[in-house]
Amino acid sequence: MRHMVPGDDAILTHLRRGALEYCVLALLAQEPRYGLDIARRLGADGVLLGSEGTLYPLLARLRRSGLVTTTWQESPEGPPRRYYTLTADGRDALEAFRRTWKPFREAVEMTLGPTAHPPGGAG
Amino acid sequence: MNIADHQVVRDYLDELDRMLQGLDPVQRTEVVDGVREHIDASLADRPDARDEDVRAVLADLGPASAVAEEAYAARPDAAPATPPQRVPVLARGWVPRVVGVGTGVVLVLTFLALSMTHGGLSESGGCSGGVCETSVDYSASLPSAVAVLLAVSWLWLPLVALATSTELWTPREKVILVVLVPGAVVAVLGLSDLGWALTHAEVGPTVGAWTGTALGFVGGGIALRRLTSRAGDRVPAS
Repeated sequence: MRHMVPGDDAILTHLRRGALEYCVLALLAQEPRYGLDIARRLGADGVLLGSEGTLYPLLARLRRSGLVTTTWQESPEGPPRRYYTLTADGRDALEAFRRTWKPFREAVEMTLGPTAHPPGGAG
Repeated sequence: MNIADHQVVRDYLDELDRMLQGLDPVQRTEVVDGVREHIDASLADRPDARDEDVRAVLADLGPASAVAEEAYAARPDAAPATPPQRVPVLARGWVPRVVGVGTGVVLVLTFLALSMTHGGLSESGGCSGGVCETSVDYSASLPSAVAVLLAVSWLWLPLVALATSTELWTPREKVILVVLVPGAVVAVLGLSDLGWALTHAEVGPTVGAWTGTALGFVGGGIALRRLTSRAGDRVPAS
């Protein structure tokens, strides 16, 4: 896990609130996945997920909102596992995020820029 | 590997459950279940996981307080547009109970129906000139099988429909539930037929029928109990 200065944590938390659930939806766009799989993929660099456990409240919220559902499937190692699947609403939400994220991200990056220019200046 | 064997895991999950007391009970159970399944899956291929393996998994999960904080976090759209979602009606506790008890009743009825057909055996005999002979005959069992299954279908088919519609069983488990009753019938009648074919005497179908009963009905009953209990564990609390 990356070592963060205090203060970065608060900002990161807020940024995650906006985008993380759409990252989860994006992981489920190709195929259903089980919790540990999602946690490992998102948690690897410590940027998207502070700790793997914080995934589970997020998944519970996504289920409550009807964006994902769960099924039980046989697993090669051990007992059957709970798999998370994207619903039609989930797909719509993901597409809406994709449409919005790109212009948002570009606007933020342009505004932050290598050096900030006053409005109207060359970007 | 039974994670309940590890006190550290029990303590972690208990602490998490306590910290989530303020949540909607369905949400609380889902979060704790999700974390428990995560731990199970992490240690699935290490049947004799040592304490340090378990602690590593818990370290990656992070403190229970962080999970709880995330669970209580205000979201940008804090008020959900739809009311808090209730547990879907087919995922509730009554489903495994109804399927379990109902299929059990079907098995008993089927067994009684089969035993009343006397395994297709019939005796005929005649005496002539002071010598009496009896001969045993055995009739094909397929009509019996069809008749028995039709007789219980009014109860059996709705149970099959229910079992296949719920999310509480895996596809493979659903297949087992569907073939359970016809499988028991086929086992008894099939082995009975086989016994006749091998011996052409009363002992053949009798042994076959009893073997089929043990495999089909007793075995089926055990499988039914196990699957019902598994599904019961998967029901979210409400």
